[in-house]
Amino acid sequence: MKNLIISFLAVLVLGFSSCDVVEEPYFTEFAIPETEKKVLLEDYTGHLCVYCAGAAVEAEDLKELYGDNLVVIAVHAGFFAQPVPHDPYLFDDFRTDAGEEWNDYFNVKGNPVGMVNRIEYADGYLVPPDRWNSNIVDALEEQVEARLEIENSFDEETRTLTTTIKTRFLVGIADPVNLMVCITQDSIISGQKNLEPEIGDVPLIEEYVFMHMMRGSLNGNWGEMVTDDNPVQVNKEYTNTYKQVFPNDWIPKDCHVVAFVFHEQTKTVIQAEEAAVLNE
Amino acid sequence: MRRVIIILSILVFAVVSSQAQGFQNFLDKSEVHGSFEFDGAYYIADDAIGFSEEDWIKGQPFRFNGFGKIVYTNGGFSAGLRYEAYLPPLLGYDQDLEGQGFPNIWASYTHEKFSFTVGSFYEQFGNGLTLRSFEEWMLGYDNAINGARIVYEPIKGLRFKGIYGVQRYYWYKWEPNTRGIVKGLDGELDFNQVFRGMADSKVRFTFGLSAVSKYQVDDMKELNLPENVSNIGARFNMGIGKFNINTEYAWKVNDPSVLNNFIYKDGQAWMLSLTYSTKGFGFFGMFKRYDNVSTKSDRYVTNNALDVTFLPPNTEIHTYMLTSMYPYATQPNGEIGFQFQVNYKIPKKSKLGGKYGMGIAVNYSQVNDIARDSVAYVDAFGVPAEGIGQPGSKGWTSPFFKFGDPVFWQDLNIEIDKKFSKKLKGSLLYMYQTYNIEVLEGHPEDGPIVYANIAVLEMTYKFTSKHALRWELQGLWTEQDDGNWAAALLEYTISPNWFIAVFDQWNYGNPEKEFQNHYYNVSFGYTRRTTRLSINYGRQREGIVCVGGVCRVVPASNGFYFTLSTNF
Repeated sequence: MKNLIISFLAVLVLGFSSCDVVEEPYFTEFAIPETEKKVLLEDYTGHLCVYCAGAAVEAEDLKELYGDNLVVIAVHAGFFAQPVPHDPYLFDDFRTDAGEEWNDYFNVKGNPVGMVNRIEYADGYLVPPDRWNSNIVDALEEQVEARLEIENSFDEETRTLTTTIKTRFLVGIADPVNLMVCITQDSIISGQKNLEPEIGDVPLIEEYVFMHMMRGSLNGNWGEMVTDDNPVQVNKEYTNTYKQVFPNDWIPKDCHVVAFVFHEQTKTVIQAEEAAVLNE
Repeated sequence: MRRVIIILSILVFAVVSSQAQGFQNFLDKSEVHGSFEFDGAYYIADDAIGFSEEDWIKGQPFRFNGFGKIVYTNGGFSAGLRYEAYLPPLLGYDQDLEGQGFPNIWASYTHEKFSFTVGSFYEQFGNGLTLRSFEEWMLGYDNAINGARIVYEPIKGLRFKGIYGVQRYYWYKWEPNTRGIVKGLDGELDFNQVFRGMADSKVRFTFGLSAVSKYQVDDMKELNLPENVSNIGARFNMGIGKFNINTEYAWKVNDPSVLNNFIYKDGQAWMLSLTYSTKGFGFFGMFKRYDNVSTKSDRYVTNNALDVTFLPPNTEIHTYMLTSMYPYATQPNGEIGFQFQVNYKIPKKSKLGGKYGMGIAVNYSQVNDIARDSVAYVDAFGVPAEGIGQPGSKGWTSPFFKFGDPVFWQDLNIEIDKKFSKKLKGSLLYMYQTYNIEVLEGHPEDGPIVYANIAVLEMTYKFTSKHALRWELQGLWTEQDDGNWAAALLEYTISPNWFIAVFDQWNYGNPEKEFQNHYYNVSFGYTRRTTRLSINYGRQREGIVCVGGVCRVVPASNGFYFTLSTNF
């Protein structure tokens, strides 16, 4: 009988000994790394996705927290971004060719989900919103391998943007490096499905304000090589210039040029940059 | 594949060597068993039901899920492997399953009081509130533990189990600092076997304790996460004559995860069931309460994978086409509910029972959210705040027995079955259902609550001992979701080999006229001993498939479906 009791107590002891009860405060105080590193956060989203508005709030909070060190693109693509014809709030089509191709390539099956610098983790590229922050911190702690500079000029008459991207690599990179340039737009108002009352009206936010929305690419779905030199040379400045006529629904004052350089093979982003279309 | 063959060869060789009676004796004791299943579909675009080439088929009209399992036994030794292929997975299954290979390989040896298993294994402690690993082909679900298990039975009626390993996660290989490690101990004592004084007692009593702990590295910058999370459970089962009572309670320490929005509340699960049965009468009652008990071995995973625990549902499982339209999915973050069922057989030759008697079954189940009160906490910016379920807080407080709002589920159903003659029998079922589609499916625009009346009439006529015709007429009436449905089925069976069936589900009450679709279907099957082939053609309506409260969403589709299965 004694052995019996001891045996059962052993079960309980294991239970209690293998647990960490965390006491308040639960939040840690962590310092934002001081760095020139600029990280790209892609938020794959859609106006039919009921939890995407909450994820967009998370992205906006992170942008506020990290400021210029974080570049956000909201990529409307896939099933949840389909327009709903005849629906007064959901008829807009915010999909783009590049967004759709990225969505397929990275195998985005559900929203909300994102990528941080397109880093491939043990469980894949895609990261749920709860992990964005941790992964951004990790990415910010990585070595700065390149600097990007964006110079924009916008001709109001022809509604033409001319953007020049200057890239300088601080380390040697053996494999091919591509430059991707695209346009994002803030403050677009349209309908968004929602299931989180703390974010907005349920089940539909009729006048939702979309931020960082990907509007299009200036150099294809996967950009183009920064230079024909292979590998890229350290400390040499590479200059790439693009022009884009703005459609009527692209409001210049709300638009940004987003540029990033990435490993062509792994797709991992090396450095990102963002600049308003209209110089302030 | 080569690795599998080498491992098995070594194991077989080891067993061969250990047999003193020689090779013939070894062969005589050897047994090989197995099972195979092949489920395929050829999809055909059908825009009327929203099943388009562009959105669903995507150039892959042929899909299949298949598995083969081989088990070798020789005395106390057994070893086996399981091959799976999803190329690509059928629609409605998690597309992360795509791939093929041997996810499960194991070997086990039992000698006197000990049993050892290495490789992949399934295990359950008690009702599963602290641990259950299982495979459910219908769901495409497998949370097998890859590691080691020891079972020790020092005396008859007393058994201890110990497990250690990591769980299967689709085809992803485990790597350090990814998904967690699970370890557990369980002890169960059968009083009637261990204590001589109780051997002949009318009271049958078993008692069990279990403790399960999972380890996952704290990899989050902004929260202090517990790396070791324990779940402790106690249970007993007592039978007194025709009564039986079974209960289990489990308590878990803080386990912040994506599923509970990173709250630090402890978790509690309690279930209690009572049965009574005598000739012609049976009673079953159940109560359960789950409060913050979602437990996965990876705190970031939200899909149907890596569950450490199992939360038994307390709702009746319906199988008719329309009664299963709105099935219940267990809500691990919080639910409280009860169920009771009474079965009564009206005796033969009574006024109501007639020549053959009549069976009546009444079932009622209800599940609500638990009541929740807000708690004070300090947010990420160090500012005092108050709320329910906020990250970095204790989540909520909840009075233990209080039913909260909203109601998730109610089901009252009455079923009468009667045999009219040697050739004709039938049953009639009425069901009233309340289904919180907002919470259970995330479709607030369709409800938020569906109230449905459902009726089913089923008759079977036996022409001869081998030939029978069965038909069903069903109706579902609701003002919410897709509106009213009607369904009919005709099935002709030639026992024991053949069946052919045609059925249709018609959404005649859909508020949008263009969606008033028929979901017609024709199927036939052939069974020979343990081999079964079935072929279907038709439309499948969008819906949810649940097994034991675990569910997957199935899209509307059209095409040919076939299944071939066998075992030996």
